[in-house]
Amino acid sequence: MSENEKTGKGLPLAYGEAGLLALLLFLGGVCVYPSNLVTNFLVPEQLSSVAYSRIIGCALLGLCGVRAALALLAAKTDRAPGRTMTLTFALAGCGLIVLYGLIFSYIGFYIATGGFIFALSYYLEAKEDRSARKCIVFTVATIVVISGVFKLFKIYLPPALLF
Amino acid sequence: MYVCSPLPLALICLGTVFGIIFGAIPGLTATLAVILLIPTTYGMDPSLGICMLVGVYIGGVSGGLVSAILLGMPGTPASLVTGLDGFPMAKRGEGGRALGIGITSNLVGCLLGGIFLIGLAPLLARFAMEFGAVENAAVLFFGFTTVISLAGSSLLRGFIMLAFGLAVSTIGIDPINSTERNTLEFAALANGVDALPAMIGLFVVSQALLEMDALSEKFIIERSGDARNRFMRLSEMRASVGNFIRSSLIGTAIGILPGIGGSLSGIVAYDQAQKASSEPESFGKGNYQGIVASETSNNAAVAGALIPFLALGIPGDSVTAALMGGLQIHGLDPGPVLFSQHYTLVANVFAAYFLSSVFMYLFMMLAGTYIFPVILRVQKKYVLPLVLVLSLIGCYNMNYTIAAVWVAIIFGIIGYFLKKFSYPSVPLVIGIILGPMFERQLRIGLIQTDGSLMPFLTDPIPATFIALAAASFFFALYKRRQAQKKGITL
Repeated sequence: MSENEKTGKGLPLAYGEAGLLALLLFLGGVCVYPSNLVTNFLVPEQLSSVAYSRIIGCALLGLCGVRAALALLAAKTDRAPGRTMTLTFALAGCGLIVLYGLIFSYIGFYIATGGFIFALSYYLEAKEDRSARKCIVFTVATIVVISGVFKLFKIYLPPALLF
Repeated sequence: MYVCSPLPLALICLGTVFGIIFGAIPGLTATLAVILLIPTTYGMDPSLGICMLVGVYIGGVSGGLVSAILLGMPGTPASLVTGLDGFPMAKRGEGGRALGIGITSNLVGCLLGGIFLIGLAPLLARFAMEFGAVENAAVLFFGFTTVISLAGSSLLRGFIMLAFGLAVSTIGIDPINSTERNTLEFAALANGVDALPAMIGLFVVSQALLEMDALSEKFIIERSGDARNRFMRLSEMRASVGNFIRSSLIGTAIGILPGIGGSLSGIVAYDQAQKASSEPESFGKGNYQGIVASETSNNAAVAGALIPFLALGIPGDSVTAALMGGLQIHGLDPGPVLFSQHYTLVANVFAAYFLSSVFMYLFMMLAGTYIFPVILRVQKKYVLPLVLVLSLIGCYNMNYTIAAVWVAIIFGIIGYFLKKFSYPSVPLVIGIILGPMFERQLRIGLIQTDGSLMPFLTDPIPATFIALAAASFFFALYKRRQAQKKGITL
């Protein structure tokens, strides 16, 4: 828990939870209205693919609806310490991993991994102790060890633009 | 016996260590370890090759507890619930003790499961084959209610997560008609959402994100704990006898059922241990009985999975499916013929199973409890990037698709927010893993019964599991009420 969260500053968790529930409601909607309506002509199905998907979708919609109502009711009053979250930490961490995934997929594993390890080890170091040189040494050493281990165990890497 | 000569013994030990290392690293699994070593067995005697692979299997399942306890990130699906109590113990400086308890439980699970394997293999396998679609659907339904009761303070959140998992499992290929469903026209979703990358995202990537939040803490675990405490005390052993036996039985019984295996056995055993405990509120906060239940049952499930594999030639999980490939390259097919025509090979497999279990215990107790806490107790800035990179590349290597990497990343981000909002991740993972199988068994079952649900309630095997599911749910409700009255948070 960050300092802001301990003191009750930041986004109330209930609002964040409502966002998560919106995602689940969307997924529930997808299940209720499946894109492909398939009929099995070989065996008369008692519970079809669509019906199963709809049952699951309705369950998800119902459960999330109840929880969303409770979360929004709580959001008005709940700003107690430990019931808020600091979005900057979450966005920085998530953003870094997404960026790593993008570079890993389209440019190349070693470039992505080098940049990612350097950035993350630098970010996780306390501000007063930050040393780019140490992080570079760690990054290079890690890349060398990883590539050796991957060669030894024949672990494949995705084909991308660069190595 | 052949396996007791130096070369087979050395290869079994080597295979076990290889498996432990793969199990300990999140993203690398026992299946991958077995697949990687299969080509090395081409030139070997069949007994030698298969014995080494059995060692890898046992090592791979056992090694999962290391990262579950020391990092809060399960190395394998089998260790999904080990971290619930192991990680809090490690956080309060009892990492060595938690590892020791887990390793001892692994050995007990292997040995008790092994006794069932040798004594009851053909009998149990034949009984398991009585299970049709209706019975399997009932077992899975029981598994779902069990996982709900592990949902912590809010059953509603547990239900939401299970429904979320089941909804995710409807994406991709329909298990009966083999047509695309709920893919929103995205080609990457055509094959569905892979369960293992999703699990890695929910438990490894999300835990790494949470650790990034706490920048003021340099280490994931401040004190690794004294490795001298790694041996279970006699009083702890005595208190765990019931848990050992119950969890071994659960592990072996669930391990026999094809595909359901390791991940569910740990959860059911954990749930039963919590229900049997006089202090259920301490589970999830560092009660060693939680580790005992999870680790005993997941190793007993190895023996369970080997029973239909050896006796009937039916692989119980992905590792035994890989082992089958290992046997087939030598022109051997597991099943009744293997027992009658290659009895020596079967005897060697049994011997290798026990030798590997004992070696796993010795290696992990005498070396692992010292080495792993030191390796994993380096600063966060070194551990987190490494764990993330290895997990993601492990995801890619499962199916050689970049979609698996994205599944891990997306579920990692979802998992991070779920933890922030106190939603349990285990029901979600179980929904994704077992959802397709549940749907398939339920729909086939309903075809067989002409759409009637009555056989689920009147046939003895499914009715027993439905009754157990109901009992499990109401017991969880009752315990929750009691805890609320006492002002305890579950």
